[in-house]
Amino acid sequence: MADLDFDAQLSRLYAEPPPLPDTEAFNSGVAGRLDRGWAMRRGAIAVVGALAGVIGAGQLVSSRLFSDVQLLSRDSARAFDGGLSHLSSQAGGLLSMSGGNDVVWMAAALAALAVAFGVTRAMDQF
Amino acid sequence: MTINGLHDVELAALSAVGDRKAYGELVRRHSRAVRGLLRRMGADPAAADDAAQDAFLTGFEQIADFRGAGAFAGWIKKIAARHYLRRIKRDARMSWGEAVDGPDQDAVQEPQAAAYIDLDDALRTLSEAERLSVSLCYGADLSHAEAAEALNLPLGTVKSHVKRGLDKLRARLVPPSGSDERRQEHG
Repeated sequence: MADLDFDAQLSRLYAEPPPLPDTEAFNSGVAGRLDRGWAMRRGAIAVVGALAGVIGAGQLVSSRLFSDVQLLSRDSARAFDGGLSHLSSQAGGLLSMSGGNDVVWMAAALAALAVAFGVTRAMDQF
Repeated sequence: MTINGLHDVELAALSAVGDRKAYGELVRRHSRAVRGLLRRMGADPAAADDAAQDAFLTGFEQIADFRGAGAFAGWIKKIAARHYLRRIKRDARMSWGEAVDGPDQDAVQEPQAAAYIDLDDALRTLSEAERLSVSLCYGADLSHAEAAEALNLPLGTVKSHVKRGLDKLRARLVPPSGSDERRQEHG
């Protein structure tokens, strides 16, 4: 029993820290080191990011990506133009039919209705 | 609510997402206890402060490991104690693995009137091994097994150091029964 009492007394004594007059200076020192460490970490991340960016840009420049993209866009523009002219010739045929104008307007109205229906459904969902 | 009104666990959670102000508040609350423990383990003030600073920085890096199961004070004290032990091992000062039983002779003094309440004075009568073992178990709340692991000593050796240390502390801290009567007789 006396041992237990003494154990508890000793734990209590250890829990009471001795008076230390320079506590504020110590706390400021820890905060300063934390800030320095944080700033260094951020700096290191920035440097690594910049390096990765430079390497990535270098890879892009040295590869044939831009010429490939140019070639691809030229081909797709040509295909788009072809498709458009084909569509316009078909539309011309449609308009030349009797009552063709009415058909186009009805299709447009139906499309507008479908879009309005879709928008209201989407608004209900969110 | 200001940061001062938050519980340690809440401050630790904020620190875990990088809030240095929250961690600064934890440092403010517990720095005295950590520095005091290290000094009681036998560190000189400069070494104690260095180890305490390192411990708090390690604590910030590992704060996500603190789950709030125990007190933050106990958690950070354990980190600090291990930091100090690594430091003295590195400095090759820890020669007490070879049974250094005698007390610190320079520090042995005649008991003074108020010595029974002064833990710091009483600790100076212990050998380095006894002081470290007792401080780890009673100051840093390590079990005997954890202290043995931290000190890299056999469990039985640590238990012996703790027992001898406690005997010496008891002799200093607990006023011997009948001392008042003897004083009256002599008076």
